[in-house]
Amino acid sequence: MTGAAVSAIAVEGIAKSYGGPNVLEDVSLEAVAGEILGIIGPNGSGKTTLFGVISGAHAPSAGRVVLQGRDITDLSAAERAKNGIGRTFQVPQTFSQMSVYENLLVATKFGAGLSDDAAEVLIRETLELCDFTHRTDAQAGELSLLDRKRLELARALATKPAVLLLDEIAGGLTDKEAEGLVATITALAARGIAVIWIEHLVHVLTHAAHRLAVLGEGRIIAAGQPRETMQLPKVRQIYFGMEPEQHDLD
Amino acid sequence: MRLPSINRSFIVLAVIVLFLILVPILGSRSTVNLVAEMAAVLAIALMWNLLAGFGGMVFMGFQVFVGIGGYAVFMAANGFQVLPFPFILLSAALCALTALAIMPILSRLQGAQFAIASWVISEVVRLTVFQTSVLGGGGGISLTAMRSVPRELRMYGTYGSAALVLIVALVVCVFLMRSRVGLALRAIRDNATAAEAMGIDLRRTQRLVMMIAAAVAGAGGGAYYMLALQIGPGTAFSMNWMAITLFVVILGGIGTLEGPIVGVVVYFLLRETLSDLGSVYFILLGLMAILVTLLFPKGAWGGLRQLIGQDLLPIRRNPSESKG
Repeated sequence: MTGAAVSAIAVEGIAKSYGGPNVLEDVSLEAVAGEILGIIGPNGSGKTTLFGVISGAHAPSAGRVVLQGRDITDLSAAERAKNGIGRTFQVPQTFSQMSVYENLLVATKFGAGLSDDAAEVLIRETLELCDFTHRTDAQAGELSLLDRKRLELARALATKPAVLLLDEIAGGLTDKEAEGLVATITALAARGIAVIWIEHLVHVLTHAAHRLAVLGEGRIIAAGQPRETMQLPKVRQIYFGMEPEQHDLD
Repeated sequence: MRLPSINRSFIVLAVIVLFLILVPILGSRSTVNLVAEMAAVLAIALMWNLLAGFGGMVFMGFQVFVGIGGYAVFMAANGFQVLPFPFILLSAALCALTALAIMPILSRLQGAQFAIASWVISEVVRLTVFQTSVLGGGGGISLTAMRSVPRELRMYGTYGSAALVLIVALVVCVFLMRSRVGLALRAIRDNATAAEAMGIDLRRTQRLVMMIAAAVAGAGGGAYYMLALQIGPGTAFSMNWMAITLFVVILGGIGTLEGPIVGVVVYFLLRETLSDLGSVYFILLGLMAILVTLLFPKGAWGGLRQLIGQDLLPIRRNPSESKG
C-alpha cells in the first residue's frame, strides 16, 4: 500500500438484526484505496452479514455505509455495484447456464457500464489476470468449485470495483494455489482497489492483509497489524479458544 | 457450415416469414386457418417461454393475457362495428398495462408462490368477466363486427393478424435475447442475488420483459379469437391454455427459441391426426410429453440439436459478437 490514504469504504456504527438479537452490533471499519483489510472471526460472528450490509444485500438496522465519501446506505445492491462495490460469495453464485465469457460480460455491461468494445478489452484482461483464458467458452455450472471461485473473482473484477469484497475465496486451495491468489489480490490492491477479505485461513490473511479486523459475536473485538492482532489474548480466546501455534500464522 | 450466429437467426426468420407469405397464396382455406391458429398459439408459447424459460418467471396464469387480448378486440370492434384486425394493438396495450399493474405484487414473489399468485390473478379476472354483463357474462360474446365482412377478407385479415403477431414474437425473442435485456434476464434466472450484485436492476428488467410478453401474448389472444369469432370466460381464461402452452414449450425445449417452434408443430400434428380418438388423444398427448421429456430432458429440440450440431436461433454471446 503506497501513497496517500484515501478512504474507499467505511461502515459506521452498523447494527443488523433479523428480528431477534443483533447479528452485528456497532461495527465500524474503514478500508483505504490500495489496502487489503482482512476480516476473521468464528462461524456465526457476522462476517458474511457484514458483507451483505456493505454490498446492499441486507439493509442495516442502524449505522451507515460510506463509499468514497458518499453515503450509500439507501442504495440498492445493483446501484452499489455500479458505484464500485464488487463482491464474491462464500458459496460461489455464478450464472450457471451461461459461459465464463457471458458471466464476465454481465459484469462489464451492468456493473462497469462499459460499451461493447471496452467490455471485450476488460474481459480479455481480466481473464488473463485470473489465468482463465483457456475456459472462456465453458459453462459456469460445469466448472469445478475452485474454478467457480476463480470465475467469481474475475467477474467481480470485471465490474471495475473500487472496493472488492472477498468472502472465503481461498477455502479449498492448495498452498501453491493460495500463494498465487495472494499474489493476484496483492496486485489488485496495488492498482488502488480496496480489498476487504473474509477468510478462515488465517495464515493466508496474515501474509496478504495490511490490517486485520476480528469479529466476535457481531462486534469488532480487535483491529490492527495482522501478526500483532493475532497475538492479542482476547483474539486468541475468541478465535482459537487456545494459544495459536506459530504455524497458524505462517 | 457454421455461419455467424446472428446470420443464422436472420436466415431462420426469413424462412419462417417466407412460409407465412406462401401459405395464403398456395394453401387451402383450411390450411390458412390452421396456420393462423398455429401462429397465434406459437406467439403465446414463445412469450411464455420468454418469461419462464429465459427469465425464470413461471407464470401459470398466462391465459389472463390471452383472454384480455381476445376481449379487447371483440369489445372494440363490436363497439365501433369496424374491422377488428387493428385492435390487436389495443389488446397488446391493455395486456402490457395489466402486466404493469400486477408486477408490483408478483415481483415480491418467487418460484411456486409466483406461479400460484399468477394463476390466482388469472382466476380473479376470469370470475370478474364472468360476472360482468357488458362483457357477455358467462355466455361470452360473438364478434358481431365480422358479420358483414366478406369471407375472404375475414380469413386473410385474421391470418395476416396472426402471422404478424408471430413475426413480432419471433423478432422480439431473437433480438431481445441477444440484447442487454436478454443478458440480464438470463443472469436473473440463473442467480438473482448475483445478478443484483453485478449491477442488474431485477425489478425493472422483469417488469419490462413481463410487459413485452404480455403485450405480444395479448395480441396473440386477439388474433386467435378473431378466428374463433366467439369468446367466453370459460375458454379464454381457461387453464387449457396453460396445458397447451406447457406442452408446446416443454416438449419442444424450454429456454430455447427453437423449442416452441418444434413443439407447436408436434402439437398440431398430433391434434390434427389423433383428435378424433377422443379421450385416447389426450392420453397419447400426455404419454408423448412424458416420453419426450424422459428421453430428451432438453426437449425435442435438444434431440434435434444434437443431430444438427448447432443452434438455429442462438442466443449465446461469444467474444466479438456481444453487441447490445
